[in-house]
Amino acid sequence: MDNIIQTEGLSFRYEGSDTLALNNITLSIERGSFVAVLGHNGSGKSTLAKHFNAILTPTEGSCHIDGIDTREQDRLYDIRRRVGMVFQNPDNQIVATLVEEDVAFGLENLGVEPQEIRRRVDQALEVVGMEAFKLHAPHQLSGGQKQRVAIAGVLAMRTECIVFDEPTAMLDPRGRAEVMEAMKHLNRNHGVTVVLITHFMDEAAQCDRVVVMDSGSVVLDDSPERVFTQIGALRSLGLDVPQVTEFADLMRRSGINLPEGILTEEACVAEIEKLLTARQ
Amino acid sequence: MAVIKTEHLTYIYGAGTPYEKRALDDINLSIEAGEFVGVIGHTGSGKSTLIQHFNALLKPTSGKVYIDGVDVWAAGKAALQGFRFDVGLVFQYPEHQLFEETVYKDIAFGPRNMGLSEREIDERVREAAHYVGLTEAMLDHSPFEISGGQKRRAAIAGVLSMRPKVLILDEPTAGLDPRGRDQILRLIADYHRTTGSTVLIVSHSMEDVARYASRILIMNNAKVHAYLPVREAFSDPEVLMNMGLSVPPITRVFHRLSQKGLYSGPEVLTLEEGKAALKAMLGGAKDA
Ligand SMILES: Nc1ncnc2c1ncn2[C@@H]1O[C@H](COP(=O)(O)OP(=O)(O)OP(=O)(O)O)[C@@H](O)[C@H]1O
Ligand SMILES: Nc1ncnc2c1ncn2[C@@H]1O[C@H](COP(=O)(O)OP(=O)(O)OP(=O)(O)O)[C@@H](O)[C@H]1O
Ligand SMILES: [Mg+2]
Ligand SMILES: [Mg+2]
Repeated sequence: MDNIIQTEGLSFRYEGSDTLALNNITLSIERGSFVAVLGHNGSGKSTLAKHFNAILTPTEGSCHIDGIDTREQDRLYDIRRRVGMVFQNPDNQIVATLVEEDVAFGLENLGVEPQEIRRRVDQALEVVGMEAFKLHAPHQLSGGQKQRVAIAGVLAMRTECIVFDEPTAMLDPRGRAEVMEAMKHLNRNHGVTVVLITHFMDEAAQCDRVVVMDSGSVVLDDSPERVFTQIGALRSLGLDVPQVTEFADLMRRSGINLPEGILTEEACVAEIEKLLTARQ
Repeated sequence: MAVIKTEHLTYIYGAGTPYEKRALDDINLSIEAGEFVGVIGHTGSGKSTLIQHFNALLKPTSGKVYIDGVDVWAAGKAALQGFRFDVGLVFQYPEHQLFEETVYKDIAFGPRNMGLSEREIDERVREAAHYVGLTEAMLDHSPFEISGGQKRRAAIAGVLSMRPKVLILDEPTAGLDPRGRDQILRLIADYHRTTGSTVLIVSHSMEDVARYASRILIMNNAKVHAYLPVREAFSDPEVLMNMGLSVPPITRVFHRLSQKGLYSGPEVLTLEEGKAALKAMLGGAKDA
């Protein structure tokens, strides 16, 4: 199999900490796939993500990006050219005094031609709907606007894999839907591998694969259909299921036979329609 | 009585510069004591700017803000501190609120400023930490070396420890895991119920505001689009969608069913309401 990311027995301990933030993780991310990572607060999602572009390196075990060991310091550039990352808090990502400089920052570091930078920056800002803010100062933006700029910065890099760490946490419903669409588009039409860390179950339900973490370990790794039928297990991990899935479960428990595996509103409406027709 | 009131409140960022931004435009609002208000609005609509006026962090460019009937900016400098104790604000980014060496000191910051005794401070810190689900061990950590969700809990605890009369939270559940989200919302509801305080929650989660708020304040392009009871707010999904907003998934499901002529009851806002509605529909079909 062709894996862009491959970890083997990866464990990680933050300096001065007496517990492992990641405990023996063996995980591969196939090139071109769209993978959600779920897990309770503090379960290690961001720590794992930071291994994917060598911000952190394993305390034990290994992490390879396209075959490159992340511990090879002199290959850092090659790693970051392959895997881009949208950080959890956009404030940590914003470095420049103008929005357009901020989006260009990563490209300049990659040594891209100025004209090409110009083109890519404009395009990325357009994708996130922030072209009108090009000449604004990033710290003067609203929470959701900052998040969009941070996303543009990574889109502009055109890496073949992007790790999004809770990219929609501060967005309004339309913004969330748009970012989800943008990620799907990158994945389907440009073959970009997408790793999406999220606390929104309905977003995870739209991915190809769902990896669930608990206290530094991977505890579930399967298709959304299979993961989200394990409602009890997810709850005990501090997680949840999409609202319509929960609704179907609630109805089943009160004797109304909505099937398992309803993950979308469309499916929910269709199944209710079937029930109604059957009763008539 | 109105606990928060604004008259012609207008706020302009960077007035006189080329990037001048009218973030609030002639806001006239009156929020009654004891309400549980959900504040929704598209990205950049002015929500955060508005609520920062409610505890005197921002000064109106023009217009007035009253807290408990007192004109905030006419009350004198000494009174401003008092407004900040009465109206507790949890920021959108917890990082903007955490600055001490330890989580404990961060939560203690408010009560200490209020001039409480060490004993009372300690009591309040532990109570607030427990309330938001932070362990004792976590209190000794640096607020910069904990996970995103843990930071948010710490920030909320820092405001609860002041026991404010008006509690305002700017996207308090952003970044929380589902259990944490439910926990925090329940504890806010609990705080609201047991203290009779006024609560405002800014949120992009339509599910959460539908479930907990009694009234909804809808911001749109620097203006108040509407301030109305929750059921009315979600009665027209189209209107909300045109403003970049939405309704809860379960509301949308029943809305579609009614478009197909399969459902004709009132707006469904929660799972429990959905359950009752579907049971009634099936029961009805059986009898027919
Ligand atoms: N800089 C740091 N130093 C020490 N410990 C840390 C540091 N950052 C995170 N941790 C700890 O490591 C564990 C994993 O944190 P991580 O940020 O990876 O969690 P997460 O799954 O991303 O959580 P969230 O959903 O809240 O963002 C947590 O227990 C956290 O307290
Ligand atoms: N410090 C600032 N300087 C200049 N403009 C600002 C500043 N802060 C916010 N703005 C602008 O004011 C408008 C309102 O911002 P505000 O932060 O109140 O929005 P919001 O409704 O809270 O959005 P979000 O849901 O994204 O948090 C936005 O267009 C924003 O760009
Ligand atoms: Mg994280
Ligand atoms: Mg805001």
